[in-house]
Amino acid sequence: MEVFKDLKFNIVHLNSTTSTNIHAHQFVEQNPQSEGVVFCADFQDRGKGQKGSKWQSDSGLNLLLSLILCPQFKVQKRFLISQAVSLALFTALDKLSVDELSIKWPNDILVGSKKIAGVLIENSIKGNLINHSIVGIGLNVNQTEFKEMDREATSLQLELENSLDVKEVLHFLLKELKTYYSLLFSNPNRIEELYNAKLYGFGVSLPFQDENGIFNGIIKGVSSIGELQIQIGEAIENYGIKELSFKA
Amino acid sequence: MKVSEIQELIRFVSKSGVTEVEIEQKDFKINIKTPPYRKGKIVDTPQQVVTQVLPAQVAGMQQQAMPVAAAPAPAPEVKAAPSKEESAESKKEASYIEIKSPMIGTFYRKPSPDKAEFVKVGDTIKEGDTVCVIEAMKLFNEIESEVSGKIVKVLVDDSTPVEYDQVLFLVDPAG
Repeated sequence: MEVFKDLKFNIVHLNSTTSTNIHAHQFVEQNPQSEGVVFCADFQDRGKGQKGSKWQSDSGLNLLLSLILCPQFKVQKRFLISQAVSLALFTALDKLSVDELSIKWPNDILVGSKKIAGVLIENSIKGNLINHSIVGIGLNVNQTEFKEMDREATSLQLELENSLDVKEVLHFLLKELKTYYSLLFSNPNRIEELYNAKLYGFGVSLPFQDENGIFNGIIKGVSSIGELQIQIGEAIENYGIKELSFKA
Repeated sequence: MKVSEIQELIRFVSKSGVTEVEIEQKDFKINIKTPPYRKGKIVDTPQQVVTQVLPAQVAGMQQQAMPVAAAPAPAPEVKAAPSKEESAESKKEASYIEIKSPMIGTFYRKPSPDKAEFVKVGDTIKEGDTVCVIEAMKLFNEIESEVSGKIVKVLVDDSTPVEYDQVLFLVDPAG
């Protein structure tokens, strides 16, 4: 029997740019069966900005959404959801002709060394089962100026030298999320393979820092629970997120 | 032995969970000891949550680098186990239900640093109530209780690492 999960989206546009994850959280508490509901922060369409007025808020330039998923996964498979979402983002941006894309472990999307999108996932767990996941995604679309602390950031507009309709980007992304969510059930091994191959620094020697200091290692992939696997000399070590930082 | 080999050896030993290794060659002897409590590594730049260091708990982890901004937290509310109590008391404790961690990660008692704790000792909880968050690989996992009752003990301090299956809370189902 083929395992198949077809995601149907219901999009809720919020009249604010506040945290979409909080809205999704409240909604799923009231409506446990709300797979596919998407909360999307208010954004300005392309027309508004071109009438001469400046963008009013940076957040209105970007795509911020929270998607509710109810995959009924075992806790052990939690990292697969993160991998599928990263791949959906990667693929959507790739199809929009953004170059030099990679996934920085665990789930940031980079263009070269600059961050263009990030993911924050909140799972609700009871016993050994994930009741629901709230997948928060932030994608820089038309923002062209970043604060000093976000210097290492970029956007679709900066990369493509063209402003984009945030709504179009949203639908583009949802299409890929649907594809990879389905693949999560039909072929989870493929998700892991694709994710590993797109990792920032995959297969090349990079400097890292752990509790013992700086060292060079080669990223080989991630473990099933999401630890980064690094080859150091002859040995392969697994690292959690707080045990390691990139030095490059 | 080259310096790089020694470095690699130290790294290997500390990651392996072995507490002591001694190697002796012709004119060379090296002894590597690791702290007995090796969980809680260098804390990466805290993003969502302010990492707190609980003075009472760091005794075994003094060798790790602590974040500069770390501030001492209030003393944990956990009461000492009534080890010398009458057998009635231990019987009562035996009836307590454990809420365990379903994964390795970092244990958080609050939804965010400026919010109140999900639960504290003495609180009555019902099945499905969120009792804590465990963060692992940038996934924030809200843990819901499978039982109803009264929280009698919190066994882990806020913002500290937990192992798979580690007991987090004791719940008195009769409470």
